[in-house]
Amino acid sequence: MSLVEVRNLHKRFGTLEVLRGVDLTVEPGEVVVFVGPSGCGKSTLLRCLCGLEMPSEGEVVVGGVPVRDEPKALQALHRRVGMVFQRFLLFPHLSVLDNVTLAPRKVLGLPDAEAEALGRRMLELVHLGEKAGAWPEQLSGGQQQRVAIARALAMKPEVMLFDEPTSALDPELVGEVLEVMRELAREGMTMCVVTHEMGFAEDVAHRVLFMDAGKVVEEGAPQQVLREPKHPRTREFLARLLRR
Amino acid sequence: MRRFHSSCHRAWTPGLALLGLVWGLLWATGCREPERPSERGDWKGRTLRIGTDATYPPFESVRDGELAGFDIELGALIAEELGAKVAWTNTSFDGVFPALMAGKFDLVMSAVTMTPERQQRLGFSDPYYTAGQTVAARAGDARITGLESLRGKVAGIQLNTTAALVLKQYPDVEVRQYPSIDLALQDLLNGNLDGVVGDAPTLHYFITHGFQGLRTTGGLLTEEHYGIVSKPEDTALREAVNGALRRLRESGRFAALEEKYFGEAARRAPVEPTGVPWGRVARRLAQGLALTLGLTALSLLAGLPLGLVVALGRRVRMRPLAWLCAAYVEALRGTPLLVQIIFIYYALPQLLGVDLAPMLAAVLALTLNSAAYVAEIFRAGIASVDPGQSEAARALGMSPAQAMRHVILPQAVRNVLPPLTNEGIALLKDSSLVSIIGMAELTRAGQELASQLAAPLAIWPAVAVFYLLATLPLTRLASALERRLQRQR
Ligand SMILES: Nc1ncnc2c1ncn2[C@@H]1O[C@H](COP(=O)(O)OP(=O)(O)OP(=O)(O)O)[C@@H](O)[C@H]1O
Ligand SMILES: [Mg+2]
Repeated sequence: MSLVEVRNLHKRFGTLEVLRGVDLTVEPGEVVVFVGPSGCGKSTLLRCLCGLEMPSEGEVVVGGVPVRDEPKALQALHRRVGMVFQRFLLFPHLSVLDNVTLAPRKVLGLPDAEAEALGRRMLELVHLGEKAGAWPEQLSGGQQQRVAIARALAMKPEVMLFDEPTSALDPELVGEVLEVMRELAREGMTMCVVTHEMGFAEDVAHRVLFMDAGKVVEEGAPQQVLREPKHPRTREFLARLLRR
Repeated sequence: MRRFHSSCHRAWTPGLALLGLVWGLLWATGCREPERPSERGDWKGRTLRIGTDATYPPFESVRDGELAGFDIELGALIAEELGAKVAWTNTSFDGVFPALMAGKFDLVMSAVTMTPERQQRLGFSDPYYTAGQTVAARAGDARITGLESLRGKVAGIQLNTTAALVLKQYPDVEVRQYPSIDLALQDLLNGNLDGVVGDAPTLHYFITHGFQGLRTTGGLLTEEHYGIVSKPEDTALREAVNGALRRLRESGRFAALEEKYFGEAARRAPVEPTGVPWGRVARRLAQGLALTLGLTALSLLAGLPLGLVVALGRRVRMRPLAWLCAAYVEALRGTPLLVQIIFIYYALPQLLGVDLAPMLAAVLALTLNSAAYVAEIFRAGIASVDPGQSEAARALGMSPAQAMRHVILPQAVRNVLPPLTNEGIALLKDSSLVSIIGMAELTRAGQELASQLAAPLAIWPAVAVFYLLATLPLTRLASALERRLQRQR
């Protein structure tokens, strides 16, 4: 069975229909990259996958369990799905280590010592072991985003969602974050990534989906979608992206 | 300022309409006190509770921490005649009649002039003192010889006193009203007025004790009577008091008391050495400040958690609870603190049948009031935290309560520190309003000293200094705290 199954997903905000029937399956260990023009609904799709938004219509099933608007079920879903935001959203009042250990302690109920050991392991994973005692504001954007990844990983999620994780970063800081994500993919983590980093998509993704106006317009292997797009909208979008 | 209170004295002012409201409420509920000993007319071995506003020498004032004056000594004599003990409550004139009606004490002896209006609502004893109005002027100003000479000039009076009735017949006298008589006299001394019209004994007292540059101009303009006030239905007590007055007159003790306060000897008595006894003043103000600080601290301590609960209550999914919390905030922010204090102390006991001690009522009123403001501060503080923070917390599997407790509130606390400090300072100053239920906090202590020493110019700046002593460290503390939290992030 697929890890993530999305069937005929519609999402409306009032009269605005942002998702207009999305179907998607993600297999364990698969890395899926989403591309598409601004406003086409990529973020909304990821937010539906991690339970921050509820479907207006259709179904989202993660690990065989359908997403329901019920507090306990939602919390369970949140635990299985890790989310990394464009704006990092570290907790500014907590040290780097506490950012990582807060949820394991409060949600999973890990004892302090165990949580700290876990937190340090996660920080090693993103190459920030030495920053455990620092405050978020003392870190560069790239470092902050890596802490955010460690924070999500500490909950041992089954799938990781990344919503444009590098687009708020200075160009010279993008590489270190992508490197961490590459390593994660190599370890076999299931990942859904919204990004405009075409190099990363070509190297790492198993599948690329092109979205437009709330629908998946084209999908396939990265080579095919990115180099020989079939759909005119995809071609238009990629041409504009490359010209930049 | 968000809360406003005009202190008034000896008189019914428009601001006291709300007291009328409370009265109406008391009547409407038809509450009757359980039978008190007064209704049996037998006071032997019992305690006669008397209310007064001790800012009106020579009738009542605070001297060396003790009540003193003509009314105070007369009250003691009456109690002695009845074989009763006496217990005084010193409270502001604004609050003295509602407290009487609420059964907080049995009598009011506070130089209360008998007017037809008051006689409709209150029970008066036989008159025990005949007062009258007179005119005070600057000692060197020979133009002023009496009321006639004030035509075309400016006269000061105390707000809504019977002096206003006298001056009604002289439309060509320009009248300025003052909240208390010592402030009118000060303005006369400063040259802004040509004369002050007021109760002769009190004008005389102030002039001999603190305003040596002034003089009174002879004859009495009116004849007014002071009476001892009881609840209208308390006829047995009224008769007992009248009997005691009669016996005191017959035995000559009443005349002796009059002689002591108003006789030739008193007039001629060498004026007390002038100058403000600063040691005593400082001690008295320090006591007032201690009470002010205690009231504020207790109310804040209780108001902070209550306000937080109300702020969180407004966010819960349960509609009725959220609505209730919103209504609480609106009700307490939308009504004056003074009304709330009066309601809790005077009306609540009648409605619920519980009697609150003044201290408890004061803390309760200030707590409930500040909690409403604290709730709004917390609400704004929570709203100012990036909503992404709550999403990040939820995406990690935290419940809404966990996200609030571990992520949102710690960040909100930084935002709310400055407004919370302001609330603390506002509360500290607003706590002066509880003087209406007889709490002798700093402002009330100042009122008592200013009138007793006839030295408003010296006392009020000192009161201000004492308030600053309390508020300055508070603002300092807050900014230090803010800096420390700033460093921590
Ligand atoms: N909570 C919301 N309420 C109303 N409209 C919303 C909400 N969230 C998103 N939208 C709208 O939905 C549309 C799609 O937004 P979404 O963020 O999913 O696009 P996106 O593909 O991620 O775009 P971008 O590349 O700019 O991030 C936009 O028009 C946006 O304004
Ligand atoms: Mg987006």
